[in-house]
Amino acid sequence: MKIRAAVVAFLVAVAAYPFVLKGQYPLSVGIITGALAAGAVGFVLLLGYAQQLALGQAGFCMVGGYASAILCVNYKWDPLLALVAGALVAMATAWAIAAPILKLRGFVLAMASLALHLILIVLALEMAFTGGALGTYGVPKFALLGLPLASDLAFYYVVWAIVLGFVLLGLAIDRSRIGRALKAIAASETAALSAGIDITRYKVQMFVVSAGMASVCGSLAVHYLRAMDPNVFGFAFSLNFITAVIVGGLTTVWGGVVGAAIITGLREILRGLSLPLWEGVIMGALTVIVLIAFRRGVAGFISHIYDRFTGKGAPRVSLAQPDLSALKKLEHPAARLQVEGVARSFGSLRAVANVSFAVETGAITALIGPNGAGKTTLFNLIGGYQPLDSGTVSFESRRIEKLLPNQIAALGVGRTFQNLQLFDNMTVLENVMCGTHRLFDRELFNRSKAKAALAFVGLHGAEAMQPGELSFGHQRLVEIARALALEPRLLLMDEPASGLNDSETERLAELILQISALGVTVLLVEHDMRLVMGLADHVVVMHHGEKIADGSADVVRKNSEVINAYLGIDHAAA
Amino acid sequence: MLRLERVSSGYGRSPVLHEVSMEVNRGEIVALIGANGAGKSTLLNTVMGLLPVSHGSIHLDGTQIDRKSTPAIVRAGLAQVPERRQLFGTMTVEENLRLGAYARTDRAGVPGTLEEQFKLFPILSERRRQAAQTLSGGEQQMLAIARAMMARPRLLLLDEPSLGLAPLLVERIMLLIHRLREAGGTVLVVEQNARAALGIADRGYVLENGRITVADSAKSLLGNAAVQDAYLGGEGGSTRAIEERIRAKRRAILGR
Repeated sequence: MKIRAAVVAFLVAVAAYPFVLKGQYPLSVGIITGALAAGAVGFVLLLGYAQQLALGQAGFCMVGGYASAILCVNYKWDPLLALVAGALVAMATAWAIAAPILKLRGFVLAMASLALHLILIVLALEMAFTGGALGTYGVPKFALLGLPLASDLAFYYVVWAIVLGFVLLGLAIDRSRIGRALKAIAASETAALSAGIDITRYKVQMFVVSAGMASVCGSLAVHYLRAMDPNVFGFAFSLNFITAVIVGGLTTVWGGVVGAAIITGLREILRGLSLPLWEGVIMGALTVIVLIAFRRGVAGFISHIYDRFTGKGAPRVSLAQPDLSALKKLEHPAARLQVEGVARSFGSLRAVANVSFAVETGAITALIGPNGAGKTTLFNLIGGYQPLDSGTVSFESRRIEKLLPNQIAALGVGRTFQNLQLFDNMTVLENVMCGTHRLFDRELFNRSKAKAALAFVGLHGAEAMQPGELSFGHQRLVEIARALALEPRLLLMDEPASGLNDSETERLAELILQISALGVTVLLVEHDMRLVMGLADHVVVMHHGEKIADGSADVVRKNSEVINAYLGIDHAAA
Repeated sequence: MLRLERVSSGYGRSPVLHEVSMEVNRGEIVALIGANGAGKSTLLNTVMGLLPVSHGSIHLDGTQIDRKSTPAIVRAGLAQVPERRQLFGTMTVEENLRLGAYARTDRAGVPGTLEEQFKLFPILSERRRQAAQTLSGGEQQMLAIARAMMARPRLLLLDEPSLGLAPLLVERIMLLIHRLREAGGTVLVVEQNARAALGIADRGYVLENGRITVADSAKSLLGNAAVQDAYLGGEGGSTRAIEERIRAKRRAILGR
């Protein structure tokens, strides 16, 4: 509903604008706003969704601009084909440089991408085929496959049709599993990996998509300016781009459209006042004011007002009893995990030293030991979150110690975290849906699978809530449901009872038993000895990075080394 | 020393604490126990000035502190050891400790306090040049407490010191807190692990849904049937009884 309202508002505004503000000048402003909006939509996908602070996107505008100028002037290409060709070149370039450049983060990435932009400017100045500093002149008006657009009004509508296309593409990404994966990555990369999400892949995808959109922005602008030179898409333009998406808002692709309109609109109004000295000052001050007043940008603010107006508030939770029939028993529960001679050091600290043990299919195995014994490190090594120095880890017949966390998750290994790793930018249901990422099913199935997992843990009343609105104990259950939605054969739980009170701990114990009854093999790290001794078929004890005992709960608790290192007298066998 | 009178506070417009009154006297260890979400951390954050007081007042040695900023409250002599420790992971143990003394005006006294901490926590002395993130969980908790002590607080607020610690370490940390008191310190400790906290405390308060429901000596609280039921696992709340119940469930559900 909200999207439909926004699209209708967009269409009305775009259609009416040339009739409300008549004349050549407003029309020109409308065209240049549209070109900027096309690129800004892509920039929102990169900056807001993929959270990649690549600020040199104007470099891809240059690619599009030069492609259109050179192909149309020197080779008499049709402008539409030139635009597409430019976009393809920009996307290919982005894809080629994505692997090295997206390894960088934050400000380093920002600097590196600006440096790439600088390289393009220098190349454009020095190369012969770009026309050097003078640039390429005489770019024809835009045309659609031989059909020239005689009037600027027609060009205006074509530009905005392209913008609408980009917005719809952006919205489709937002609502797809890709959009959910991107939100998950933004909230917690570790948890995204545990749900089987390949982080690099989605960052690269958004980098490529946004490069294509930036290139189209460049092509459209050049057909309007009728010329291309190295200064058209300089650093000042980059700044324009950034300001537009931040003012517009990074939480929705509409932010790019709204931001582009505000930025160009403001500048033209200020120009009309003919205060050359104050133009930059007022522009900057207004930007700062917008940023302070609307944290999520103007588009985010409009969306908030809409929600309030239509009365879409926070739903209240009514928790139900766990529905144990919601999840089916595993058909192929085989999930033997074999850890063999695994070691990992941090500098001179031996965190895990030559540890071997097995987790048998269907069993509940507990890993215990004093703080700093290396339990969490070992967990991270098994899950692929850290590389191991030596040793092997096998899951069924496969060696997994060289796999990435998302690949291990995709084999059917779920994981929960000691410090909750929920995605606080999504609802509870969406959080759990992230767990279905590896299954590649249709969204309808994903949704029903996630609902079933929530019902199983007893949270079917909380689907539409934000995780932060739930109590700590219930947030734990959301994390478990997310791990269950992955349909794991092996579930790794890192201190699931930490922070729970006694009655919550007992309920958790029952839930873990029900999970085990589904055929899921469980490996847990835990300090709560009541839980460990009550649940575990098999207990592995670590101390100073080494395994000091391994056996059934009753055997381990009588082991004098374990009593001295860990249990103390209280928890030892009576 | 610290006195809360009918304090209400919370996040935004929804109050979490309702007219909470309590006090901590000089040289006491006071335990505040309660379930998850009862408002224990909210209470500590309110005392520290991180959350505004909507009603009531907080006094420290007769001075009203509920309108003061957090730095001013720290200067007035309160120090908090936050939940989950919040150390500066990449800095060394000694750097972390020195940061704890930032609010102090008597720079000359800092080295002396540092040595006191090393005497109280010898393991930290051994590891003084090591990055805080390389310490084990128990050592990190000790560092967090020592860092708070660097400000020479008149009153130390501890938020869940036993969280995530192995059973043996819980005992050790509680012993350390006890030793702090013997060295003349005053401590308010908030704990989920009620049994451990009441074991070292002089007095205790039970917080339920943002209200103080029971206030008594620690000894009577440990013997109080209602408290046992709610926070110590009741009659059947001994470690062994809970374990046995879990085992019975295992037999029922898994048949083994």
